[in-house]
Amino acid sequence: MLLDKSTAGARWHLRPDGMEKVTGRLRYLTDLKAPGMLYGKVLRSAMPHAQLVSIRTARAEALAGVHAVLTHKDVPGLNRFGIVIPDQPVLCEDRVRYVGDAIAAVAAESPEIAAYALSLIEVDYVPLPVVDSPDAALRAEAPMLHPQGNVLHRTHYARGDVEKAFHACAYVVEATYRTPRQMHGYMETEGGLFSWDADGRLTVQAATQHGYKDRMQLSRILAVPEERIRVISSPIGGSFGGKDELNVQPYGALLALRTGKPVKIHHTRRESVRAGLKRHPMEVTMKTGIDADGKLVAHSVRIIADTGAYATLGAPVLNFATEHAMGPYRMDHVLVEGRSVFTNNGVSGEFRGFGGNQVIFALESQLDRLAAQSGIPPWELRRRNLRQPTDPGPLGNTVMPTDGAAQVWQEIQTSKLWQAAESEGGEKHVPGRPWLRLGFGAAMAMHGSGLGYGIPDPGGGRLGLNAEGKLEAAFSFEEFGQGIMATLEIMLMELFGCDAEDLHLMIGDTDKAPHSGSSTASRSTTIAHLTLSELHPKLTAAMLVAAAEASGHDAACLVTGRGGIWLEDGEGPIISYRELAARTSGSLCYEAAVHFPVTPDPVTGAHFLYTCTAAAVRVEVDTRSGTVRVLEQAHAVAAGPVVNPMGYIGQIEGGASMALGYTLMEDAVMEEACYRTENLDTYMLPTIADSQATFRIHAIEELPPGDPYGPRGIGEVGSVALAPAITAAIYRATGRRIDRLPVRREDLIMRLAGQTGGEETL
Amino acid sequence: MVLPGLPEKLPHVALPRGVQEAWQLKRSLGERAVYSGGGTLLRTQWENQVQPVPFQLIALDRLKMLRGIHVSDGGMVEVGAMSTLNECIADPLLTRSAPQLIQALRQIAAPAVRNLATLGGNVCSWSGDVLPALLALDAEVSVYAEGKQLRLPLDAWLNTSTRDPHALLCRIYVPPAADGAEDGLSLAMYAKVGRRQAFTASLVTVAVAGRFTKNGTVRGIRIVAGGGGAAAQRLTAAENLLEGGQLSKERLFAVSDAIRNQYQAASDAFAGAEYRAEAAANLVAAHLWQIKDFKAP
Repeated sequence: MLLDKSTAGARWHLRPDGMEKVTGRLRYLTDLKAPGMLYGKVLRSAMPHAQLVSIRTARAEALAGVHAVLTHKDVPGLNRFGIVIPDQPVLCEDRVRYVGDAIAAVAAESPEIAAYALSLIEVDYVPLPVVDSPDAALRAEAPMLHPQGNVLHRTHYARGDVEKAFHACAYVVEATYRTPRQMHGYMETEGGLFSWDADGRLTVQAATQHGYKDRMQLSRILAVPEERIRVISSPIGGSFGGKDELNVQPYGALLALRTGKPVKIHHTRRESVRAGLKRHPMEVTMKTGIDADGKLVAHSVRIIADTGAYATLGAPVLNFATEHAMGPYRMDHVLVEGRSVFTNNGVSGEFRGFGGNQVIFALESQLDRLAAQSGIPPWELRRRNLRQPTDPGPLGNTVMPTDGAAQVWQEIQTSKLWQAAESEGGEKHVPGRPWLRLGFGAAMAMHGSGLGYGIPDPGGGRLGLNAEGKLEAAFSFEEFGQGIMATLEIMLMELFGCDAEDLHLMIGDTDKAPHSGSSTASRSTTIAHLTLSELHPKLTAAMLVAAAEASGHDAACLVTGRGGIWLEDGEGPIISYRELAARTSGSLCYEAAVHFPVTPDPVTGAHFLYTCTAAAVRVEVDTRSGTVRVLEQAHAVAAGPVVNPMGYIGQIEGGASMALGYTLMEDAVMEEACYRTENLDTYMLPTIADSQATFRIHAIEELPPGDPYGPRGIGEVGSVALAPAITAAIYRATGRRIDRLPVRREDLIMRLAGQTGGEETL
Repeated sequence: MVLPGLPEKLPHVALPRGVQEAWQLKRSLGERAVYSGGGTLLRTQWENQVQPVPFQLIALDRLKMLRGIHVSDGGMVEVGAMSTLNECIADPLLTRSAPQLIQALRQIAAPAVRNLATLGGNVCSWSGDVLPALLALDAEVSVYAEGKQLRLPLDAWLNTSTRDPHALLCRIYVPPAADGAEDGLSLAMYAKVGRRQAFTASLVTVAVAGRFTKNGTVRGIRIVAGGGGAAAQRLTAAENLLEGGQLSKERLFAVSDAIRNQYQAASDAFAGAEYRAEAAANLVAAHLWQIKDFKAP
C-alpha cells in the first residue's frame, strides 16, 4: 500500500507532542533550571593517548564562583561506565585514550566561570604513540590500549566450505568497502539537570534510551542503591542510539552530590562532537561467487570495525554486522570473520542500523558487481537468491517466518519510480547539458529487531484507570522524536475505542513506570503491542464488571468507548471513566512483564523477528563538479501492520535522510585521532535542500497467517538500504563504482572534453 | 592565551557615529580592535579559535552613511557596505543590474545568517563568495583610509600591497548591466559548488562576465574563480584566449586547460586543489559551450 496522508485516512493522527515541538514551546530536559543551580563542565583530554602524570586543581578551586572541582579521587564507587563492559573511566586516573576522555569536572556559578576554571586545571601528560586506525592497532608493535589487547571482540561464522566453493563459481567478485564515522547529529546535545533531595535521593533529568540502565550504572558509580536514584529521561531532542550510553550523567550526579546544589550540564556542539559516540567506521572485504545461473554459492566476509577507545556496545554492533552480512539471501557456503578493534579515535557505539548499514552497503554492492559481470540484471539476480518464508535466519537460527524479502522485492519493482526508469529504456542524458548523467538504482535488506539471543531483553508496562478517571498507560520508554507517544496513543484509542482525552501516558520516569527495557533496537512497538495485548483484556473486563454493578446492565452488553463505558448500541456513555474511577478508587491497575521474542536456538546475537526493506532511487550526477543529487526515492517496507501512518512515514523519511547524509556527505574526519570536523560548520548534515526528492513509501502490512507478534518497529530499517541504492544509481549514471562512503566528488568529476550526451558531444 | 569566556573577557563595543571616528578608533587600537558588520563571520572565527576575541569591537551599526542602495552617478548601483545580504537580494536595482551577484548572495550561508551578514563583511573576509561575482562585474569600492575617502576598482583595492590596515570599506559600486540584444548575448554567470546543496562553505566559485556579440566574437570577458580559503582570482590566461575571438570547441578545451593551470585553488581535508581547479575549468567551459552555437539573427 502506498502510505501517505490520503491512504491513511482517519488514522492520520497528529502526534501529541507535535505542536509544542514545532512552535519551540516544548521544554526539553536541557531547558530545565532549578533555584540555586550550578553549571557543570568537564575537562576533556588534550591528547588522544597519554599517561597522566599529575592533575593540579588548586588554581581552579581558588577561582571565585567555583564550588567544586572533582577528579578520579572523588568517585565513590566504580570509576567506570559502559553498558556491556564498564571499561571507560568516569574520570581518568593515569591514562587517557581519546580526546573525549574526562579528567576533571567543575561546578561553578556560570558556564563561563566553569569553562574558565577548566583552563586553570593543570594536567601533565606524557604523550604515548597514537593508534589512529585499526590497521595501526593490529600491528605487532602497537601499544596495548587495554589489558586484553587491542581487539575488543571477534566474530566467526562459517557454514559449508567457501574456499572450495569459490572454485565452482562461474563469477567471483572481491572488493573492500569503507564507511564513514557518522555522527548522530541530534538537535539537542547531551545534558541535563541533577539534584539530590534532603533524604539523599538523586533525581537525574537527562536523556537516555534506557532509564533503568542509567540508574544501574549510576548506582555503581555513586555507590548508592538503585532505589535512591530516579531517572527522568523524556522528552529528548533526538538520540539515534547516541544517548543510550552514559554521557554527562556521572559528572552531574557527582557535582550535585559534592556541592549539595542542583547542577546543570549541557554540552556545546563542540563538546558533544569531542566526547560523543559515532557510528563504527568499518572496512568490509567481501568475496562473493555465483554459479552460471546466478545462484549465490560462496560468500566470504572480513569486517574490521574501528571501535575507538572503549567498549560500550562495540561487541553487539559487530555481532549485528556479522549476522547481516548475508542479507535476505540464500547461500550455502559462508565465512564471516569480524574484529572490533580499539584505537585512540573517538568512541564508536550504538547508531540507528547498528552495524547493518555498513555490511549492507558492501553486500548489495557485491551483488551489483556480480550482475554486471554475469549479465544478469541486478534485480533479477536478487530474485534468484531470495530467502523463502520458512528459511532459517542468516546464522542458521530459527526465525519467525517472513515473506518480507519477496514482498519488498516485488513492491519496489512495481513502484512508479521503477516503472518510469524502465520506460526511459536506459536514457541517461539531459538535452543540452551533456555533463549531467541520470541513473537508477535499487537495493534491499533484512533487519533484525530486538537485542538478539543471549542478551536479556525483557519489557513490560502498566495499564489502569487512574484516580482522575484517565486510562493510564505507563512504560519506561523514552520519546526522542520517534513517535512512541503517538503510537501508544493510537494503540490505546483503537483498543478502547476512546478519545485521546481519555488517556494519560506516562513514560520515561523510573519512579512512575515499570521496566519496559530500552527504547532501542526497533523494539518498543513490539513490546508495547505485546504488553497491551495482555493488559487490555484484563482492564476492560474489570471496568465492564464495575460498570455493570453500577448500572445494572449485563457486563456482556457493555463496551469501552469515548468518555466511558457504553451500551453496545448506545448513544453515549452510561458511566464515565471518571465516575468509574471514583467507584473503584484507583484499584483497577495491572502490570505485565513480557520478553521480546527471541530465537530458540543458542546463537549469540541472532534475531527472531526481521523486517525487510527495498529502496530505489533516481540520481543526477553533475560531472562538472562530481555533485550527486537524489531526485526521487521509493521505499518498500515489510514490517507488519502500520500502527501510526504519520509516524511510520516520519521514521522511514528520517532514516532515509540520515542514510542520504551517510552516503553523500557525513564523516567525522579524524587526523591523528583528533577531530577535523569539530562543529556543524564542517561536519555536513543534509538539509531540506538535499532531501527534496520525491519520496514514496510502500508499506506491506501482511504477516504470515498466525503471526502473534503484530506490528514491528521501523525505527532503523529506513536507514539501512539507501546507500547501496544510491551508489548503484551512480554506477548506472557514470560507470564508476563507489566503494567508499561518503561519495567523493573527486571520484565523479569528469573532464568535459569528449563527453557525449545523446546526440551531443562536448 | 585567550581565556575562554569569563564575563570580563568579553570585548568592549564601540558604536561610532561617523566613518572618521570609526577609523581613528581602529587606528589607535590597532590589532586590539576589530570592525564588526553583522558579526556572523567573527563569531565563527572566535568559536573555531582562528581569531582571538578582540579587546574592542567597533560596531558599524550606527553609521548611516554605510547603508542604503541607490543609483549613483554614471548609472552604477551604489550599495552601502552595511547592507545585509538579504537587503541586497530583495533590492530591485541590484536584481536588475547584477543577477549573478544576487545568485551569489542567495547561496551564502542560511536565511538567518543573511539577515545579519553584510555585503561589506563578505568583501572584507577576502575569501567571501561574493568576491568572484563582484570582480567579474568590475565593481568599484569607496574606502576610508589614511584619513580620507578613496574610490577605486575593487580589484585594485584587494591587490594593493600598501593598503591601510585600518581602512574601512564604505560603499560598493556595481556597474549597470550592459543593455540588451543589439549587442548580442551576455556571458554573465555565477556558480558555486559546496559540500551540500545549501548552507555550505564553497569548495569552488566561478563568475564570468562579458558579451558574445552578434558577429560571433567575445568582448569584455572577465573570468574569476574563488572558493574555500582561496583569494578570488582573475583567470587572465583564459580571458586572453577568449577576448576578441570566436567560440569553438577547441578554444573551450584550451580555456579549460588554461584555467586548470592558472587557478591557485585552496586545499583542505574535504577537497584537494586539483579537484577544485578541474571543477572551475568545467563550470566555465560548460557555460560557454551552452552558448557557443549562438548565432545572431
